[in-house]
Amino acid sequence: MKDTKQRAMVHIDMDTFFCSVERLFDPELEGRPVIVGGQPDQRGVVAACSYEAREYGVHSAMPLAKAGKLCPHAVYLSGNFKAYVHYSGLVRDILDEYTPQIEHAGIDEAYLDLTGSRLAFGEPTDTVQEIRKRIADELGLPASAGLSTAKVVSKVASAAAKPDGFLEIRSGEELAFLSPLPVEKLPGVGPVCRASLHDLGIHTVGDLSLLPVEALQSVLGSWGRVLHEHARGIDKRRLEGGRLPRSVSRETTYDTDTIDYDMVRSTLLLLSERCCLALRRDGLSTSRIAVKLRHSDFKTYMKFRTLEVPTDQEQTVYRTALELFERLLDSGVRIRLVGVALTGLAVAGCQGELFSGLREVGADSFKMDNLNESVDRIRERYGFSSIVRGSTAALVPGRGGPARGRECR
Amino acid sequence: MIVSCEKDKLNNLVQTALRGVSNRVTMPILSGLFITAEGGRVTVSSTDLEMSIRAEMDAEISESGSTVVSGRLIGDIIKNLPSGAVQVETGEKFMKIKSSTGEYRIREMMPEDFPQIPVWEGEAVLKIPGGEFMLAVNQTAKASSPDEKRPVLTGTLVEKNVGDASLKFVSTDSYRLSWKEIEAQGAVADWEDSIIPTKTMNEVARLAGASDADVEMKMQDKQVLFRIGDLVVSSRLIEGQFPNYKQLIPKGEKTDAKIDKNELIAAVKRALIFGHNMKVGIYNDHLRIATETPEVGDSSEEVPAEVTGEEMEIGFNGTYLIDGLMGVSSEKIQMRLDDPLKPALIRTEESDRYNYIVMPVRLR
Repeated sequence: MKDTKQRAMVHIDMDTFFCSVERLFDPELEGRPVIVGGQPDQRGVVAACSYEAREYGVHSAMPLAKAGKLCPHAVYLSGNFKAYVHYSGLVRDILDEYTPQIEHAGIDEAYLDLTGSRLAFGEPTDTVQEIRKRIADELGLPASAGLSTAKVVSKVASAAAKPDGFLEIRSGEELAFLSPLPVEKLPGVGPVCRASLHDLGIHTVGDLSLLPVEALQSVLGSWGRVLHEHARGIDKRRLEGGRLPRSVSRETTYDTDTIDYDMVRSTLLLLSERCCLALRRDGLSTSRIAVKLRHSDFKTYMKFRTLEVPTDQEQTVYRTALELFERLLDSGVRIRLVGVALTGLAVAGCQGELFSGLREVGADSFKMDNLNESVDRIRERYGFSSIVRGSTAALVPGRGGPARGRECR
Repeated sequence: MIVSCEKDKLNNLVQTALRGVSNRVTMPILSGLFITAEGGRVTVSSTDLEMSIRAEMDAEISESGSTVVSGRLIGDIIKNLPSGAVQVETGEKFMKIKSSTGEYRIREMMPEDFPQIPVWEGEAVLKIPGGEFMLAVNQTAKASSPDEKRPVLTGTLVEKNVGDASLKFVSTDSYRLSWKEIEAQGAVADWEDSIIPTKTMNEVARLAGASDADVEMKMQDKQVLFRIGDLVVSSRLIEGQFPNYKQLIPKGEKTDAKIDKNELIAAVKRALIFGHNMKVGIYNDHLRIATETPEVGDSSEEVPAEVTGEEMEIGFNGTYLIDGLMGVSSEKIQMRLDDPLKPALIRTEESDRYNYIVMPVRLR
């Protein structure tokens, strides 16, 4: 008899998600190297690349210029983030049907705990295959999956199953599966960590699991103890589903460093708008606003202000952000990046005002509230760029001018 | 200057004046106390250029004169001296304080550099019992704004009502507004309505609370002057137009609720633990107060109430509610509402002397 209490932890990872979505819109991209992130002569990095591009040594987070040298004949796309978010939502809709125990680890990956879903959907192995089939049939997108009793093992398994595969690691087989793998296959082992492990003569996950935990701790601190457990397939972490964000931030890096401060001010308005849109979607308000500026010499400066009354209105956020910006600005400097970050998040509510017209912008907070709600509804239906403020039009791709910078989360 | 006096009396004088000292680095002289001895009186003054305090007392003066010394230094040393006689003496560069324990010298600053402090001249225009003044400020000052960008809202409007010889204190930060009407003696008709910094009002209230004397008020050289016994506080006024608040007063035509003040305050305080914005349901015979913070927790409780009119659900910032309720002096508070998105009125039962108007929160 099978153990129905045994944890069934699934990691679902969409294969080259951005590229796969692009291929839905342009089937001619099928079989060709595709690189999403921008043109090779642009500043910035590869956001995603297809397996065909990876064969030339291209990988995510690589500077676009370098990718251009390695794979000049690839199709370079600036990316359509709106479409990615849309398809990510459709994938989530499918996952939601199988369990409420979901942790979204990013736009293209999620953990599912199917332990309690056996009664309704049967064996987790079959459920995972069904989910993959539905994502492929209904959305036309390939997804890989890993199934085991521990998050870390499932994550490594889904990576090993790629492309378009599924790998189940049964209880008791974790060590045998993990041991031969190179250490960097474990989540959290980056180039620096790998180098210090190599210095200790550790190359495989098996080497790692045999090392005394104290030795690992002395090199990596408390992370060493966690990593040691992971190497042995032990991972007691539960899912972190649906937790509200602790902060919301948006920033823009300009294609070329700029002294056009009016454009930076317009960018601040756009970023304030985008932050507040995200706040309102989560039903949150902010009480602390930060502005970040990076000069052309990469020196970064930040200023904060706490509000008297929390808000989810871009009118207030922008006004505050602008004041902070003016205080941060040294005239003559070239600006590389500007960002807005909101913290002190709490349940939203719009504090009404007794007298209108006392503030410089925004006469009446309830009126602003109605306005923002209407704009949100239009954007939900027709997309963000369907309605923009005049001063930000030149910054929104598809409205009035070319994008002057890349916006990141 | 040579002055002899009791340590405790001098300490009181110095500590009172110290409240007005400024620590602005750009003007070191403002960190000092200006001390004058003349005609049997010692005067100690301080100013931050917005508000000044001038305190006097009788003393035995063998030689008149004036000086400025560091407020912090003279405050600290006098406070720590044993009770008994002290002698204060100024020299060329140092002020000498002699007590039974020893001799202390404090570097003097130039008295010519100290700004002019208004001296009370003539008669008072208004006179208010100290306790009433203090109560009225406590009921209104909390509604003032700390936001210096909107100066008018950092002040308290002091407005006359000639008809019934009363004075009204009004404060608002644009989210709530509090006013209190008090009786005033004197020539109410001669009072010029003005916006006084709430910081000054709080200071005068504190000093009034520590004294048996009435608070006397008048305008002089575009400043407001308060006199409490031997003490004069003067302050600049805030320029600008105070918002027209009179048309805001909720009529309370829709809903009127009477609730036990202490029960309601306790309930709101408990609700505040689970979130700042609260949903207040006003039903036939009770209020239901609910708050929540997703993934943290929530609260819900009922408080008995006598309600007439329609039932209503409305959102409030709990802190603003508490500020308003604390000002009510009766056992029961009265709440009047017109609409979930229009100002609500909190006041003392069957009295219109204290009124607190709070704008609701639109809940999501």
